[in-house]
Amino acid sequence: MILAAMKSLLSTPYCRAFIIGSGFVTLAACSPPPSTKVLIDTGTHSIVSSYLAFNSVSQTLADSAVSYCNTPGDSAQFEAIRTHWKDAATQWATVQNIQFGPLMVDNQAWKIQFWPDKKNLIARKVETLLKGEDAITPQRVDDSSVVVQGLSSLEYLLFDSKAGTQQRYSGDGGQRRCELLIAVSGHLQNVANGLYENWRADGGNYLATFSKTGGKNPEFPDDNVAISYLLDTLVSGVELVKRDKFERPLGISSTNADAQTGAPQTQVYQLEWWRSQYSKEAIITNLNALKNIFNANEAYGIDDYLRETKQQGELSDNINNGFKRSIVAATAIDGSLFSIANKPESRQALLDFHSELSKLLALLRNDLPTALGVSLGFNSKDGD
Amino acid sequence: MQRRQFLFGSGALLCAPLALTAAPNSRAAELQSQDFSPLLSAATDDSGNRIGVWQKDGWQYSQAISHRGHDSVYHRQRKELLFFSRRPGRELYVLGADSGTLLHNISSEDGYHYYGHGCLSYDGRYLYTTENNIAKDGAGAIGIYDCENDYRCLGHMDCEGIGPHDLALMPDGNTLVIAIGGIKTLPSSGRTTLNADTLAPGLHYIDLPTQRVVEKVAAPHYQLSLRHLDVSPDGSVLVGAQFQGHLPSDQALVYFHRRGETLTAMNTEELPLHFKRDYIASVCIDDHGKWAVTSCPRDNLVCLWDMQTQSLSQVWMLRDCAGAVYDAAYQQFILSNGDGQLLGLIPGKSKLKQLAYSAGTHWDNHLTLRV
Repeated sequence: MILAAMKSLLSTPYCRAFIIGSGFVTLAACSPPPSTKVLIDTGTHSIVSSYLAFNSVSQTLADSAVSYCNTPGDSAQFEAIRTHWKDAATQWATVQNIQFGPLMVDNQAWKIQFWPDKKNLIARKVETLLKGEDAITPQRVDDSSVVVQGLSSLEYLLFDSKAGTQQRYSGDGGQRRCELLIAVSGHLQNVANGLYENWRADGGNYLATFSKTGGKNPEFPDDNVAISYLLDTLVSGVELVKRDKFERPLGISSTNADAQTGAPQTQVYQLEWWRSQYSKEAIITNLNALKNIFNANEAYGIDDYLRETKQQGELSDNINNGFKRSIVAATAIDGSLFSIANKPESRQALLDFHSELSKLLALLRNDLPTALGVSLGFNSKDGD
Repeated sequence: MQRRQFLFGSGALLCAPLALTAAPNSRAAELQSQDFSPLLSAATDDSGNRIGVWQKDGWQYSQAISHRGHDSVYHRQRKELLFFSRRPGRELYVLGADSGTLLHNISSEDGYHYYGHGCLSYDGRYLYTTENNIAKDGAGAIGIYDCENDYRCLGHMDCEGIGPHDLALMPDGNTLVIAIGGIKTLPSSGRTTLNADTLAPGLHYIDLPTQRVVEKVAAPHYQLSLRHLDVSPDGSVLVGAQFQGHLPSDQALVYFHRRGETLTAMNTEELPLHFKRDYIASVCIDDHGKWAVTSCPRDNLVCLWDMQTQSLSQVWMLRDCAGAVYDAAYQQFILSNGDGQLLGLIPGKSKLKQLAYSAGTHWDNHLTLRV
């Protein structure tokens, strides 16, 4: 495999130029151009590894559903499956914002999470399915609406104040509820596994699609196009956190947060993961994951590329500081977003976080595209 | 390996929620080449804005223009290419199809500007364009031009709606269908919307012999600006919307219409589309009225619709994709985007295929074939 990788590296023009120029070949010295390094390292360290982790916690969650349902009266097992759900929600938050690849094929994201659920469809559709008589299997779940699939449906089954209590798993209907818990978590595991299999080098190897750009690659004809998808991931990820996960449910104005007067119009049931009150944790994980994508974790990321190739070290530092300050501000919010949304004494902490997010987003949206020499979108920015 | 097949092959329990009902066309499946018919498009690159014809890997010919172009029309009988200015532009360029020579540089009549779209009469004698009647406080108008007389403007028809955008000739040859965007702008305030609270978008039909509006269908929501459309050989109209309010709107964005009936939303099951910005750019139906494609540059999505079942078939991710046209000779849809890519979409195939790539070329909104 290593040989194959070397062979493919040798075939790139960058390496050929190096070999001809230097007169003799040392394989170790032959490295891809910085833009390609960004793609390989970000893909390997910040994306494939996250899909691997998501796959692994989904497996644990599915296993724990089976274990719990063997002894539905065991409250320790019930707490265990709830914890495993949170682990899965956390790992989902590391890949949720990736704007390319297998996740985008046939709306896989909807199978994992149905949100926002403005019409309370999850409760309605899950209960309808439970009231039916036909066997509940992962296939049945897959054939059903995305509303009854994935983490959202599991959150309802595990955390809803009425439908997600341990008592509901005993007595009448308890067994059927367990069947659904097992089927939905098994189905989620299949989706998570499919995503990982598609990315990993020994599987579908989307990693190669993403990092080996060129004329024959219909998705990524050159490194710049691939880098622009990373840019989209960063920008739309922070936008999703700011607008959908924060401003809308908490009634914060997007432009002039500090000047807002009167009681905010909150919509707490639009919060992500309101049933489990896990919204803030998911936001913090999102921001950490986006920061990792910017840095390719510890490897050669956009941060290094900006500094070394684009002479934009200051912007690179500013963006990293922006992520850090946003994460600190989110962590400083005391209590779950669901519980503090309407408490005036908590408002300042929310606004502080919002202010940091706005500054970070401005850097990513206004300064980063120019520095990278890629466009955020020609038609999307100014169409007709 | 094809991703979709792999993905669903990897978990025996998974199956495609929107599986294609039709088998891929066998002849289309055999065509693996990167061939495609010559394309008219506007574009912007390092040198500025241009219009021209792109063939294989480069411009066959192109012209610099001073502003962004929008849509275009190929006049087959006259072998002329017509390029329309984007609002609030007033220029209409006519190029010879063989050499790309500029034959005419038409200006809209005083007090009017173009909205970027036009279509021809059945016999090719007349050109119809969507225009803003500035002097009449932004009322919509359809300009009539005589192609056989140096594209002299013969007058305007009232389309009874503000902001007419895309338009097409119905298969009866006697009727125009017009997407009414509803947005009022005046050149004195650029592209700023002046009537945000009172938009009245819809689909209007004009009977050409009488020059009268004969049918008006209002959009389901006053902020659902109907902008681009295409007509199937059987007279079905597909129209795409751009939502002008709070995003995401949860409104359906693609609607099906037949004369005399109500506007019906194309079926997307329950929200399988991850729209965040509610913006459809191009709408394109194939020559058989079987498949249609819509592009969503703000959501980086391309949607394939089954016109028979009026439902969504498949979705692809494609960054900043805008242009879409059906290339019958190669039985494929051609897509363009702001990243300089031209891609082929064949219904039933899981992957888009690369047709051409030009780094630094930003393809503008719409594509037209020169065939």
